[in-house]
Amino acid sequence: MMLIKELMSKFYIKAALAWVLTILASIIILKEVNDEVRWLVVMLITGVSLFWTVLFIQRPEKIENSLPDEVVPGKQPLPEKIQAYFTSLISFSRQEIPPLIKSMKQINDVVLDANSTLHQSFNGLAENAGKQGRLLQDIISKLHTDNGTSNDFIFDKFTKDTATVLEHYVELSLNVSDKGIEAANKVQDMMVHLDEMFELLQSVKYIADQTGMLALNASIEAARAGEAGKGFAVVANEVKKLSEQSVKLNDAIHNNVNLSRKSLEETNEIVGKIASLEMLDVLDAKDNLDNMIVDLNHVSESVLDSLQTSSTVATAIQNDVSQAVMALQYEDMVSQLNVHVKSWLQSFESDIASMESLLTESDVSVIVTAMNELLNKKISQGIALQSAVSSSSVDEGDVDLF
Amino acid sequence: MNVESVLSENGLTLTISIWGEFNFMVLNEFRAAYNNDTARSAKNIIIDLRKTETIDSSALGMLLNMQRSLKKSNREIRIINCNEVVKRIFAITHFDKKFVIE
Repeated sequence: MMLIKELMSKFYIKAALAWVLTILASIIILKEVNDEVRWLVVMLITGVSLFWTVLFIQRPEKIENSLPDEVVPGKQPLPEKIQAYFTSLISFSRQEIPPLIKSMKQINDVVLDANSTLHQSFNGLAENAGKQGRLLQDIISKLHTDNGTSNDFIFDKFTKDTATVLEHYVELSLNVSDKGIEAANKVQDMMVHLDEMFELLQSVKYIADQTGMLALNASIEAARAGEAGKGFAVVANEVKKLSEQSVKLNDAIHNNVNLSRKSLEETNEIVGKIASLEMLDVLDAKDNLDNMIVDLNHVSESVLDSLQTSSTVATAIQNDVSQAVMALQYEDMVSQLNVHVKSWLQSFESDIASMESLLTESDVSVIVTAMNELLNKKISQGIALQSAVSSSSVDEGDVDLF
Repeated sequence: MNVESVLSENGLTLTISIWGEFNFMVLNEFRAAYNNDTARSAKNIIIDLRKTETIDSSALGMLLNMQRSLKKSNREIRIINCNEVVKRIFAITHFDKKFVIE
């Protein structure tokens, strides 16, 4: 802006000077000429003034327009060395571009192939991780019962059963002891009765002995009575025999009762053994059971913890895999870029053809202008390609593949 | 003498104490302590286990038999001064629901 102002002010000074000079010349001329030609002079002066004005107003544009004119050379053919350079460049490009296009296609194919394999693998992985997760969740939900305790599924039934078994054992042993003691008491009662029977037998023996003595006395008295006591002596003898048999019978009964007593004593001992169960063993069993329940609870809890961790891991794997599958969309980007690069290379090929035809042009300035056009076209294509690449990258966002 | 029974002065309470091991060995002594007119006339029966070291299942059987024997008169049977092991045995056999255990 400052520059233009400066320029403008310079032109105005010049214009003003020209005006002043023109007007001074006009005044001098107007004094010399007569009235007849004065209007011609006025017209001439006006024309000159207008010429100056137009000249100075147009001046800046003229300067700008005249600049290229100063640097444009005359018609010249392209120097041979440059032409040779261009020719070798063109043949080199012709040679290199087709393999590049082929390579791009190969890259595309390889990427697509690898991508489909990866897709399959990841989908399989995601599916299996999902199955695993569901399986673990299933187990966890089975472990969690309605009332929220975690042991019912595996351990609670077992511990409950064991506790029931112990309870049954306690009940059974209590019952056995109860009945055993009852039996022992009866045995004891029976022994008392047997002891009473011994006393009775003792009395019976005493009676038999006394009867024997009486029979003996009776037979003595019968002998003293002589012939008259003969019949009585027979009776006395019979009584004596009976008393002897009584004593024998009494001894036999005594022996049998004694055997019974011994049997009862043995029975008592056996019943005592049956009725006497060590209760400390039961207490130990109960302690063991309680400890086992505590241990099993710990095991159950840790199993549940592990299962929950595994389930979380399975979910994490699934998430990772689905992210990986999402990341595999780079395939689209690669294909797009491939298409871009390929079309760029193909257009470059056609550019080379037109460049080749340009080289036959006799005027170097025509060649330069055409080259410039080509260059600008390539630059704009390059910018389009770059923006395509960067927009693809932006689309993928957080996927760090590139 | 492993079992001792003492009747209170007012004749209402009979206290039976067992020394050492309460097992089948004291069967007759223990039975004798409650199976008599004195015991039957007493209003309260107390089994004092202060001097009792251990018990086995036969002792439990004896207590149950005693309870059955004295049940008719509808009197209270209390078991007192049990040590920790004996208390646990009474708990595991649910004796604390059949007797008054103190």
